[in-house]
Amino acid sequence: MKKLFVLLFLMLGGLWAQPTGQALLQKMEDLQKFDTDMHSMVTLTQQKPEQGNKTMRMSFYRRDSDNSFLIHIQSPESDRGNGYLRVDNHMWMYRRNTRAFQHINRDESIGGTNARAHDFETRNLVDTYQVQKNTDGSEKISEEVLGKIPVYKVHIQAIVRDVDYPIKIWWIEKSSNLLLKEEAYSANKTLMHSVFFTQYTQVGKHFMPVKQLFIDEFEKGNKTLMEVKEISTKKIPNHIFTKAHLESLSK
Amino acid sequence: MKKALWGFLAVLGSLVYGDPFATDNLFGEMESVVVEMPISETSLTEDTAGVSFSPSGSLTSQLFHGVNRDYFKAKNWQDISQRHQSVGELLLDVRTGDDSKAFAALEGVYRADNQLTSGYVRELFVDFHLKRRLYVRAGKQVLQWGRGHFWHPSDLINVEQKDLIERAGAREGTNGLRLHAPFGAKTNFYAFFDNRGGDSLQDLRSSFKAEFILGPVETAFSLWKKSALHPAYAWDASTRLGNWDFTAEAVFLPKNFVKNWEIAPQKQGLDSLYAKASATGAPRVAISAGRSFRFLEVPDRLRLQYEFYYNSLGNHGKDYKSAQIYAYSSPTSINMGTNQDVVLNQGTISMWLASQGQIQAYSLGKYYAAGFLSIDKFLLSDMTLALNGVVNLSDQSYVFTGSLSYRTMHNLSLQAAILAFGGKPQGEFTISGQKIQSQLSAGISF
Repeated sequence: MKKLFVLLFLMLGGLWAQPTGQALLQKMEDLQKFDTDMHSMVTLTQQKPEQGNKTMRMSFYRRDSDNSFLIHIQSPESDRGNGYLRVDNHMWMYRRNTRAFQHINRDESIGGTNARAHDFETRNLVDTYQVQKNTDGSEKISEEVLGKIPVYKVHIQAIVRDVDYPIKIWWIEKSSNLLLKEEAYSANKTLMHSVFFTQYTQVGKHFMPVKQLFIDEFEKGNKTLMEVKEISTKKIPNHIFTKAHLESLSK
Repeated sequence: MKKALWGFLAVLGSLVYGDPFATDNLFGEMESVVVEMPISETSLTEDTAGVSFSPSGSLTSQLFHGVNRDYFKAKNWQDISQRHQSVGELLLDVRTGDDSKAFAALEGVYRADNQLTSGYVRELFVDFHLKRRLYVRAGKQVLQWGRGHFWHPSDLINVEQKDLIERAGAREGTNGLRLHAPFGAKTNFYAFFDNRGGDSLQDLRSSFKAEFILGPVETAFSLWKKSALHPAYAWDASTRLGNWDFTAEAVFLPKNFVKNWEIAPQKQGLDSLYAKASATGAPRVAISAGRSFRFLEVPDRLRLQYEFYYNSLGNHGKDYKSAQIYAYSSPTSINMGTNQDVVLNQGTISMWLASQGQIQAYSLGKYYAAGFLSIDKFLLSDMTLALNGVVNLSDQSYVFTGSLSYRTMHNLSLQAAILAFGGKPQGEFTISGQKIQSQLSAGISF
């Protein structure tokens, strides 16, 4: 009888220990939302085979309360002045050579690197993805160890069409629910890119990735390292999130 | 042996300096990915702090060949033209501590055929703001209104029409004073006072624009006014429906905006041609639709764009083709491509239209259709294939272009492009007699 109780306890414990996919996505989403404004300097180092490295430095302003961000490329000199402004569902790309804003509404590559606009903002995970199911109806969540870190390996599929890739596998740290690794697959299940989130820092109650490595698996050898520094949570003045400000920064 | 040595040195280098791109065992000995970083709650790194001076620019060398239609009949090498030019662009940007800015875009062009060097000041302006409520730009500046892909009928300020193959160097600016009052990102008011080419207030052209967001649509209404003319009214909008991006632009030009002409028959000598103001207003409309496609697994790799343009002032086709010589009622000057104006007392209607600045590429006919296709990562990671075409539906002539562009991470760019002209004889794209034009260019921007 005692053994039966122990077995029952372990089974229930196991069920409680593994969160549902929906709960996991919600926790991940909550972790990355900021209740303060945020400004930082972002460095994107791009590596291409036979071309070497190129470093791009940009200023990044983010205000989650109205879903705004502004990215302004500061260097190299040839790209300086190009930028991106997003408010709600509207996004504009400013190109200094045409001196025109393009109303784009879509997930652009930033400065031609492997980093895309969604890598800079709060990701609406619950409304965008769901956990895939096994044939028995259970969710495709398993437990693994990444290096020495215990993680959940979660198979994800998009429930909307407007995403970069429809199928993903996430490795999520069990203790913190932070995303550590992502593999993105095309509809034909070809591995297209991997992203490693190797460093986070805590900003208030929330966490932001400060070191990410993007690996282009389709064009082997193309990599982009994104590093975030000089973080400030000081309230950002309203004029920052305007076209006029972005244009004034341009050459 | 050599490979082994290089391999050993690479491993040694990564051990000593650490390779930031190494992916082996990334989480190796880590217990946690959370690191402590200094986070300021009181200071913000400003984008523009202190005085700065930053030059940048580009240098492009271009080789053009033009194959005349006659070449295909006689195979005469003289029917193949050649031109080489180098275009240098220097951008100078000076900023002060209070976020004011002075900017100059200078361009030098050397043409090998006539061994002439020309210099241009494309932009020269000063930027400042009044308590971030009003942004002011004074001087010669590139200003593009409208949001179409190729045609911008609502833009009556910009002086340079977009071309199918982007030209090297900086874009030509317009001289004037621009005011921009933003109310967040979603509402903007603009004014531009254009005083180029005039020495009295009567020549001043004023433009005003109100731009705002309505749900998923960004739209703008604008007004253009010159003292002697009624105003021109314009509207533009852009939005996304499904995966398609749509833009639309329309302008209603006032009567007298375009100089028309009338012929006065003469009993002796040449018939006389004199300017006559257009009696009614005229609309121009451009509509475009475009979307990106996943192509060979890569999202947004293929981009397709269609555009339709209606120009009620167009259809000069018949008169443009005419070789009839008329006596001009007043002398008119025309630039014959030698950087010197030539004064004409007589000529064809097309020469007269050109002298009045009314023959603009891609705006001669009444109806146009265009298609633009681009494929990124074409054969190589940094190569783009673009296939574009514009058809003048009014005179049934067309131009198609194909270009391969390669641009490295470090801004070396190489381009090979071909333009093919065809359609009915004496049409907009066939009247020059040119059948094929090729363009090879190499450039570096810094």
